[in-house]
Amino acid sequence: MVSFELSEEQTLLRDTCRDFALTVMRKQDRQADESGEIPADIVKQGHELGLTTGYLPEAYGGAGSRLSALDSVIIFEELAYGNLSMALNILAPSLLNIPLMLYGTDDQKKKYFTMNKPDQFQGFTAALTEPSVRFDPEALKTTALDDGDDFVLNGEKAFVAIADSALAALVFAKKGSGEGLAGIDGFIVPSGGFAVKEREKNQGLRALKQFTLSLDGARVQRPDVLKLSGGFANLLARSRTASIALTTGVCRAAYEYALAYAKERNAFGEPIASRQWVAFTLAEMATEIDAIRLMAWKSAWMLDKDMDAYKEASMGKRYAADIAMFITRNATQILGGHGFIREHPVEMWYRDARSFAVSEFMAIL
Amino acid sequence: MIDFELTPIMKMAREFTHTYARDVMRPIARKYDEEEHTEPTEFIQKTHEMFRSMGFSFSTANSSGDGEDKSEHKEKHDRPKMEMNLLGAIAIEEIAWGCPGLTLRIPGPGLGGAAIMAAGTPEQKKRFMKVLNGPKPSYGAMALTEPGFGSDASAVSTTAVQDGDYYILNGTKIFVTGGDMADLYVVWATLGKDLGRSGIKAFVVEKGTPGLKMARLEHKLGIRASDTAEVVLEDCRVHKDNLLGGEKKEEKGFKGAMQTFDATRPMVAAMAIGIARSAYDYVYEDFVVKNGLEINYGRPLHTRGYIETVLEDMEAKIHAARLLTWKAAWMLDHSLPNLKEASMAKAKAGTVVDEVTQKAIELYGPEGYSRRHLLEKWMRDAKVYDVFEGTGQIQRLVVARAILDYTRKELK
Ligand SMILES: Cc1cc2nc3c(=O)[nH]c(=O)nc-3n(C[C@H](O)[C@H](O)[C@H](O)COP(=O)(O)OP(=O)(O)OC[C@H]3O[C@@H](n4cnc5c(N)ncnc54)[C@H](O)[C@@H]3O)c2cc1C
Ligand SMILES: Cc1cc2nc3c(=O)[nH]c(=O)nc-3n(C[C@H](O)[C@H](O)[C@H](O)COP(=O)(O)OP(=O)(O)OC[C@H]3O[C@@H](n4cnc5c(N)ncnc54)[C@H](O)[C@@H]3O)c2cc1C
Repeated sequence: MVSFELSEEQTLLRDTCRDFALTVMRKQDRQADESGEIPADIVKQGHELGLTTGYLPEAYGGAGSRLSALDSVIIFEELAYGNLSMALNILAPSLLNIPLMLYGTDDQKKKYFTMNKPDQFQGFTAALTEPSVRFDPEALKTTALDDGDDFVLNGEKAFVAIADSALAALVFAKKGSGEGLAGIDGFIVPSGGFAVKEREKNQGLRALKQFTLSLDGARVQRPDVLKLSGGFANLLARSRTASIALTTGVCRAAYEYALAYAKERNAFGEPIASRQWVAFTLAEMATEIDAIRLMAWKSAWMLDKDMDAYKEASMGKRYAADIAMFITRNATQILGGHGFIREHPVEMWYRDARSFAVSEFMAIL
Repeated sequence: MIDFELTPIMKMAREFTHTYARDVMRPIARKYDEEEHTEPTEFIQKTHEMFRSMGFSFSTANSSGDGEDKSEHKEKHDRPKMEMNLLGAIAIEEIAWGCPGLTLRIPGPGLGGAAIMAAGTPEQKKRFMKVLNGPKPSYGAMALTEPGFGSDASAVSTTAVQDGDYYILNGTKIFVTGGDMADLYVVWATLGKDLGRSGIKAFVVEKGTPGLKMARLEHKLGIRASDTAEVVLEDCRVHKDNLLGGEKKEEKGFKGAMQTFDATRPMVAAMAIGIARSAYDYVYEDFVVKNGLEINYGRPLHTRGYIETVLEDMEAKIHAARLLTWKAAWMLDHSLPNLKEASMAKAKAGTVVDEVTQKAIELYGPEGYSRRHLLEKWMRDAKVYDVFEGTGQIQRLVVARAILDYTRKELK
């Protein structure tokens, strides 16, 4: 039976995250963007909300709550509404935890889940993207050669979040001749197993530390190979669904700011919001935000029902990424010259939003 | 709890209406486009019998049956037995996929019925719905638009002057969908310009009432299977029992008319989505099914061709519009105020249907321009979905006022 109503639990979850977004993340978003540093305290507080460890089994120190893609999209929207860099940092542990939940062996779960501490942020990360124009996940250049007991990894990875502090990275590579996405597996490489190269300098997401990595004959023992058995597409479906939700959050931030500004700002003796271009643009923004939120929900709902959401998620991500440009660009425009000035956050959201169309695997739900 | 699972009844209705659209409507869609003003008599009869046997009318979902208002549930958490608006949106998307012009020709309460349901008293609903859902094909028309206005519904200039138990109506109404065949017309008239909006009332004028005259039929760009008429009222006497909402001032009047749109806009949006989908499906069939083009969702742009990305964009837009429409209909089913959402859905669907039908022709090349195919027809049909039931600009105005919390004066 179709319903667009959040459960009471989800409403509470949303409100908690929204409150955190507004009262904690937003307070330091500009400073974080300028300095390139996310205050450790924010990550810690975000972590303590239990969003990336709550679903871990009780046996491994988690709260044992259900892993729900729907709950996650609700959370992700709010965190991105706060700040995208901070959201991605806070959510980083899931980059390993969730693939392990879905595909890990008991030994792997035991080994890595217990590294998560409810009261202390312990970073994990994942490495998929490679530093090349025309990057294609189906044509990974990173290789994993079977060398008896171990696999030997060689290659370069790029845009790996918090690689400098992560306890381990889930490196995606092809070990055999498997076709396309189906041939991709995960290799858990502890810190030290990869060389952290220079920090990425991006147009946006400036507060989030991302790095290029090089894997120069890194050895991964068999027990640390995460056999996806064709599940990589499912992981992509989960990260792309997450991407739609994150997009919704950034869009909503920009939209709300522009809306409030438009009611305050006068030109020609009237608030600019009373001009149809401004008002209609805001109306279209509101409409598209509703639409992409529903796309995220639909895709997440499918994931929770164990349906194949790859198409839904991929199509939604692409659509939402376009919408993100439409919305953040126009939010900036509605602020006029002030939109161009870094005193206001809209230019930051405009830069942050550009990432959605070009990034893969920024978060996973 | 968020859920996208359709009920078995919805799935059945979707399949059934789709089959009907494909097998009965598609084969005659071109004929009634070319032969404007020809009554599709057989289609009307057949469709009427079929829907009657199902006990459901598709023109306006919440005005089927005996006039009991199925969408009216005072208590917010009182779940309606049947989600008639959502069911209607799902079914009418399929029907419009068959042919949007013929869709508007399907007998039933129509826009007139929707207005009666929104603004009528319980007795009026019962009385008129009996006619509109009767054994013979019948139709309820809405006569609001006049030569002097369309969007600005407060500019009604057709007059209603009381004369004992009767009101005497005088004026000209244009663009009345089904105005050639209606059994009932909901005519909007003013009791006096000085009364402003509160003086605007809706009267049910029955077919055959002296002074009610169908003056002419329009020649249109699209939806040619549906006739659009000019209706003239000349000293047309209507009993006061036909004044929707009754004579009391505090009863729903103009506001009632506007509430009609909360129910009809999601339906119109759903029809627009049906048209967009017909064009999408048509090119998909040729490129993908027949010629093996692959749509590689989620693959990097540099590996993809133009046409497959355009197809994906079309599909995504349709999907977005549909989700908005379902939400708006669902809200109404659950008695949640949906003014903003209904306009969002209508605005989005009205834009998407134009974009998709235009693009489909482009993808098809010169052949797409030919009347051998229905693509060019769908593009023509599509245009009015961004016009009637409130233009795209009016929808944006409604949404903008809602989000800005602006009055009509603050945002014109
Ligand atoms: C980098 C930079 C350099 C600049 N250099 C100079 C300079 O050298 N000298 C100088 O004098 N100024 C300069 N400016 C200022 C610039 O010209 C103004 O920012 C610009 O004219 C817009 O004015 P505003 O910022 O006050 O926006 P506002 O006038 O407040 O407009 C805000 C928004 O409302 C819209 N809007 C306003 N009125 C209407 C209307 N009637 N209908 C519809 N929409 C409307 C605008 O299009 C805009 O989207 C500079 C600005 C920047 C960012
Ligand atoms: C095929 C067809 C069937 C129809 N069926 C019916 C029917 O059954 N019953 C009925 O009563 N009517 C019907 N209509 C009329 C329809 O609802 C009107 O045409 C529509 O509401 C627009 O009114 P208008 O044509 O007078 O345009 P106008 O109101 O004159 O608008 C002209 C243009 O100005 C724009 N505009 C107007 N006001 C504003 C504003 N404030 N801000 C920005 N832009 C604005 C409009 O968006 C539009 O682009 C039908 C029309 C057609 C074409």
